Amino acid sequence: MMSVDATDRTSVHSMVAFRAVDRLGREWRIDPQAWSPLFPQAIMGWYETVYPFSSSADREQVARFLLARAEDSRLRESQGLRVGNERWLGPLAAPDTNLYWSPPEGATEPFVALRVYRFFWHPTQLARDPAQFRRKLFYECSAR
Amino acid sequence: MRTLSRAWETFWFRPADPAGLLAARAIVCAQALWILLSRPDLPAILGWPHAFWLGVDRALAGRFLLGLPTEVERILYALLLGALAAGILGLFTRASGLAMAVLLYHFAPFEDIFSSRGGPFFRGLTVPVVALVLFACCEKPKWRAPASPEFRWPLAAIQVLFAFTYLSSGLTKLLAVGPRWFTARNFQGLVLGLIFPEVAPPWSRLVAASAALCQAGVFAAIFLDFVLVLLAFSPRLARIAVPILVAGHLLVIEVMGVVFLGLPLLLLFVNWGALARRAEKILLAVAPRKAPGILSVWEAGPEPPRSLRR
Repeated sequence: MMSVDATDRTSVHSMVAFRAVDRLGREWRIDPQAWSPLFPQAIMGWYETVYPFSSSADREQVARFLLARAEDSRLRESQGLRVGNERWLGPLAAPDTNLYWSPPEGATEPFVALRVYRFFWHPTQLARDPAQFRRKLFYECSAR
Repeated sequence: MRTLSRAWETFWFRPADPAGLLAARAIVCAQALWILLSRPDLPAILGWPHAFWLGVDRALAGRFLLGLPTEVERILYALLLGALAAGILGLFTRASGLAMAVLLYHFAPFEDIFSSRGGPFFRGLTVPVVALVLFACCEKPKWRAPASPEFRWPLAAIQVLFAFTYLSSGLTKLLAVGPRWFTARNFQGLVLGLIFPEVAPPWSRLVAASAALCQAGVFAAIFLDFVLVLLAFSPRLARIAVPILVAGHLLVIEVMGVVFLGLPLLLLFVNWGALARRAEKILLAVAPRKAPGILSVWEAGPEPPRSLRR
């Protein structure tokens, strides 16, 4: 368990979050298996630690790669194939050390853009109401 | 002083039958294999775009022997999978043990390599890496060999290492935060902090809303961090502690959403020698002619420690 002081209830928490955009302009959560072998937490880590110091070319290279992998994962899932780290062992595969959301269902249109947001929330408010957070877009990349 | 020295000697070098060490080897290999089979794309990470690697400096890359072409990494990964599978089946040599340890050390940090703060962490593979080195260095256990101190110290070392992951977690909390970490208010804050906009552990809201449950969480954390380390030193305690630990980790998943990938390593604390003896007796009772007759070996008594043989 985390070795941190969590007695402060006033601080605002934040995290990086990703959305894929299909060609109809709809946003979708990205399958946590899409970027295997990494789970989203590791990619969020790159955005937290490396992104602020990276060039625009580097940012674009990373976002394009992530978008391509997200689309590949969507395609595989639509064909009923196993995705990412669960490819060999299925549900018996070792999970990440963190829990994630379930993969999006019904994404039939190709993903054409990746949006990277920062979510902000107060832990006590979010505990009371899961919708109590705000988001700010800080990067977007489209497939050419 | 003499009593302490005798206790030390007894702890590390009391004769043990080979079943424990044989089982430990299979458990450690199975644990590592499970994690690696759950990460089929791990070697491909070397081929990820350059921009991902901006945070990986030369020192870090050198420390984990990075820099080989992706195709070579794929071959090494396949070799490691094969060697671990062979290790589960008992096909284990000093050379294969060392090779597995080096390869596992090489691949273990990949998941964390781009962005880890304070890491990279080995995510369930720390104990297997060290255990494989120990297996490679110690005497090779044979199923019918008599009890020996040579089969005790490597297993004891791995059990201590595993148990100390809990103690070091508790000590880190004390060093980083102090006794305040072990308060209901802090525990509640931790649970609240693990409720994210996209996902919340199933029981997190329930626990965060209850002062009594948060207080219970504190007691559970103290027990996990400071009491269970004793399981490495007392086989009797291990019998009670292992089911408690399994239950504790399942609760941590439900309340905090944190999964402990080292959980299967708790099997290291099962008394495999006693289980083997019991199975042997049942076999003898059911089909006396077919029983391999190793009971005489189990009952042959211990050999003196190699360090005491002159």
